[in-house]
Amino acid sequence: MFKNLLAAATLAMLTASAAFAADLEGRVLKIGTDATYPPMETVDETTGEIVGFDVDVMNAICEKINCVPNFVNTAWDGIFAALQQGEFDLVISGVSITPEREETMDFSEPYIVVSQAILLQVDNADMTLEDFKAGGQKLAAQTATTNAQLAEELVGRGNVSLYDNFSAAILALQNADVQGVIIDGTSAAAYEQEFAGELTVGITGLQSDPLGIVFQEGDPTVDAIDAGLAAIQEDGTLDTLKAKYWGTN
Amino acid sequence: MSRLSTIRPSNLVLLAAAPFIFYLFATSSKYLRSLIAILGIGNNAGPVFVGFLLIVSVAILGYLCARYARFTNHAPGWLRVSALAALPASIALLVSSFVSPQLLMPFVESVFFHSLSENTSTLIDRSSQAWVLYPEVVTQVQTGLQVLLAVYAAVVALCLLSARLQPPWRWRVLLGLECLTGAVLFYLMFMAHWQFATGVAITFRAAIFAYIFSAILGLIWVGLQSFKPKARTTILYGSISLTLLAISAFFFMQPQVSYVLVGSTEGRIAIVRGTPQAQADVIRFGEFEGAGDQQYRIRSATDPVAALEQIETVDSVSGAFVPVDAHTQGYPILWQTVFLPDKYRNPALAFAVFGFLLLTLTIGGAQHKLHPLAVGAEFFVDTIRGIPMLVIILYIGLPLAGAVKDATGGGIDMTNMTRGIIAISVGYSAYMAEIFRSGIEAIPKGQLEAGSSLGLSRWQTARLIVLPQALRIVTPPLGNEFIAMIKDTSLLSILSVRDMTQRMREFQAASFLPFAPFNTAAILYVVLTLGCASFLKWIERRTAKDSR
Repeated sequence: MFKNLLAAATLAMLTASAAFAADLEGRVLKIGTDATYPPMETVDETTGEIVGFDVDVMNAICEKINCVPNFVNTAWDGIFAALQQGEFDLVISGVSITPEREETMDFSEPYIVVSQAILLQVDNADMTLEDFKAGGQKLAAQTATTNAQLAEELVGRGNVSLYDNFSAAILALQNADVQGVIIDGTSAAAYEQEFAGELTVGITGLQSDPLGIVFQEGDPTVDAIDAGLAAIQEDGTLDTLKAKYWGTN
Repeated sequence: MSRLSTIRPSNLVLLAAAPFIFYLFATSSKYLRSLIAILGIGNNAGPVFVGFLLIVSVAILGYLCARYARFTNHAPGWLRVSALAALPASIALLVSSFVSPQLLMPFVESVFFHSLSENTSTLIDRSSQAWVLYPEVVTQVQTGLQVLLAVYAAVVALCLLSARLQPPWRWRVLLGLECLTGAVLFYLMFMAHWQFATGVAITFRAAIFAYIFSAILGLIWVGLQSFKPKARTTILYGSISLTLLAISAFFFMQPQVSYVLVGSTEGRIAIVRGTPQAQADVIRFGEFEGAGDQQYRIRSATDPVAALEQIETVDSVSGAFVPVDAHTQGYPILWQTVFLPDKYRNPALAFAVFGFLLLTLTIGGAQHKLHPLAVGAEFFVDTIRGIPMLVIILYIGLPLAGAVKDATGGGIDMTNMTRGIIAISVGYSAYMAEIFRSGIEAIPKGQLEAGSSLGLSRWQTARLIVLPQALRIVTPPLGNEFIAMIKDTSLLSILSVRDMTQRMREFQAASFLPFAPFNTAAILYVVLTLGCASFLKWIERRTAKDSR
């Protein structure tokens, strides 16, 4: 159902993008991002630059519509407040498009759809969602994310522990303070790879979240970015990037 | 050995642990990597650091030279040596800027680059991923450096010569030179970008500046609290607040604007940018006449024309909320409303709030025989202490700084670092005020009476009797505040200030290492705070000696 919708949206965008060539005339876009979320965005240890899927997507878009991205690393807590104050032109930080967020901010078309997953300790690899629902088993997530929302929906607030960032949640899982960490499937793979033999993606295919680029309400730049997004979808750049980060997708 | 025995015990422990810490960082790659990440050691750090060291040491020598000139006799030996070394050193630096500019240029270039406005400057070449200065700009920077160094060498020479000046001019010139050379040193240490250790520079500087500002603010609050009401105080402040309320009423009586909701409510409703949030909410939550008992989805549009266009062009949009004089012919009118536009409503509210606040303070003050400003300062201290620092930082860093920017038409656009420093200063000034107040109140009243019986004025009593004693009492709690502030700078990451804690988080996420970054950050913070604590102890000892 959702895939059909997405396909329709993509098709609509493709026709729309043909109608006008967006060009931001070399404008520098100040882009807010919380670079603590591999593989969407992290700070490269050796160069100190912000790298990741979101960064590559934004660079590809900017190549199409002639803009210069300037990534600014900021903590998640203040990221939307800063956007609304006009500190950033846009935010790309693995942000899920939700109806509540759409009421206060504008989103681009989704650039990737991710389903959420639960990381478990290898010893408990056969745990199911029912075990969490039954109580006593804690699920962790990062505060103020759609992961946290879903966790509450699934197992109730009493069984959810919220942490400031995912590193802390993972640490709690390793400590067995919690039994699972709910996280976007795209990142879950990165964490599983990093903690091979210790953590595993046990429960997959939870609610799907379309990720979008966020703008201040009413910002006309969204049309240009949408056009650029359509262009990189059309010429296959976006698929190449997805393949680069998650193998075949 | 006698020197070793004067070291503070806690520093001694740290010194003893230092070899192990160095060993840890030298042998473990994950600790070394976290150290590099947390200190914020950028690319090209080596050459930049060399340039920095050279320039800073010449600046220090220059400052010492200016200080030395103030001594008429009995200058300490080390001061004399450094003063004499200052001129050759600054000339050598000037020569090196011509002969081998590659020695100083990395540092100077990075300082210049980071003092530019990143997003708008036309001096930056953005064609490749790593932004750099245009080559011709680099040449200009180099010429600028040579000129500055030549001027500096001249200033140092002047310092040495000025000792021969005659008395009336002598002190002014010497003070001026000392301030000038001091300012150069201050800029290098506390303002210039440190490409070789950005993280630690940010943490340390934010704490230092916030500490200075919060101490000043705290003193202001204490000063205000000591105001005594006079006979006409109530009348004066009462009339000021009534004037504010009158201005507010004037804004409230400005003409209202009329908006209409047109189209239908099946799809989303386009809201024009700048529509007051309250009006948008009326539509969103279906509180207008004729609304069904449900919420409506809205979409933004830049202007009325675009909003009306969206009804035609965007499938999901079926209605628009636009000014009545927009071209709405052809769409059914669902609802009509009038309201005060934001440009009148905001000042009206602001004046009303300030007017009522001042009125309350005046009435409260009159009742208790206190000055309104003293009541206000007390109220400020009480409320600010009760608000979490994170909230203060968000408020001051975003909406308030944005409002200042709007009000000055973009004239005052503070950097995120400045906003954060102001926010921390405001937050901590409340604690500072209480510390100062407790110190001053600890001085027995008898001493004031003794002062006045000696024929000292109020100001002389304060300066000569109260403050020296009070300062000694408040030094330890003031030091405590500084150490708390160093750690609270980590909250600035929500304003995109990348201090040591934020860098630690980034490194943690990128490397998946849990504890090496934590430990490294902890060690760094301990070194920083112990350094500051020792400095404060040293000050305590000095002031104690003075008063004996």
